[in-house]
Amino acid sequence: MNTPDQAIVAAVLAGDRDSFGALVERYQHRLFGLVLMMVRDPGGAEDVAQDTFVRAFSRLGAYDTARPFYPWLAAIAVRLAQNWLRQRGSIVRREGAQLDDTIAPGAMPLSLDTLITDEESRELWRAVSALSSGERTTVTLCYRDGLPVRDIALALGVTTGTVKTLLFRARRHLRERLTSSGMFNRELQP
Amino acid sequence: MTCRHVLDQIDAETVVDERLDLLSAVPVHALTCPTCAVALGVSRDTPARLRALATVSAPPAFQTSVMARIARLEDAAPITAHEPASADWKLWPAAACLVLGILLIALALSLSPVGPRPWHMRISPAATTQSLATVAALLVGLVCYAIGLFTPIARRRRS
Repeated sequence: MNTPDQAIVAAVLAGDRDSFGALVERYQHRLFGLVLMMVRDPGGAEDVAQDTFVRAFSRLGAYDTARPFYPWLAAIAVRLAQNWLRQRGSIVRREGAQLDDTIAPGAMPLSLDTLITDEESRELWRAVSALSSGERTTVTLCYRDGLPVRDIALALGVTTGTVKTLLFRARRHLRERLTSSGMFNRELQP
Repeated sequence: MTCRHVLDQIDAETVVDERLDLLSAVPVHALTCPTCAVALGVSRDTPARLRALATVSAPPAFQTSVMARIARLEDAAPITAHEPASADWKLWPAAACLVLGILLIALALSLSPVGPRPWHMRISPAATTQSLATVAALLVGLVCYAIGLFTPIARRRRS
């Protein structure tokens, strides 16, 4: 039987540090996928995801147990991923464009190709990678992680109206890209 | 009803649901127009495909690495349940600074002479002292106000 997140948090706060491993085990793949979708670099995603869990542990006392755990964790991940992207951007600006080859819009890092073997999934990753940072994060939190608009707004630090606008734009860009690729086109069954 | 209208509604997710037959003109167009039909199909399938993308796994030693880092972290500073309370207390000096700044600015404004003074009137030493005190109070008030306002923002950015 799965122990509720809140019970694990209570155990960790009571001094049982190893209980936190259960939360890491439970959310590592989901969180890694979210961060990977945001930073589009497997090495960077691993660093950011690790930092997220470490920071979550060190600030566990600030977690409101009345709310679900994952949106709180995702909010930390989003902030750290944004910092990572900002730092990466400044390095690229300082040291030239060659570093940006792996994260050019629409492109996908080579190492990511090895993580995703299914061609349809790969095309979908490319389409999501081509979205702007805000659209990409919103669409990932909404569809892949299934978070409600309110939780996404809290994670991103924006209003629910902004989230809805980002979702609208993301859906449009995804539809245009996926329709033009032809891979997902099929006759609609009414 | 043009394709643009329909595509807008598709992107707004008003027609991407299971109740196509309940909606009027939009789904009829969406189903009969080849362009819109494909767009509707893609939009309807995309959320499910995105959910299926959860197959990307974290690296094998991920959990071990995280727990090792946490062990090192906890050796340095053990976690307690009272952390948020202490974090909240850190904001009190900033709030006090802000209030003090506002009070000093209000005091300076109330002390300052109102209205123009005739050119031939001499400034008495008492008035000069009062003016200097007013300016000093205003400056200190502004500094306190700025510290109280920007310290929490800077702390939040650092965190």
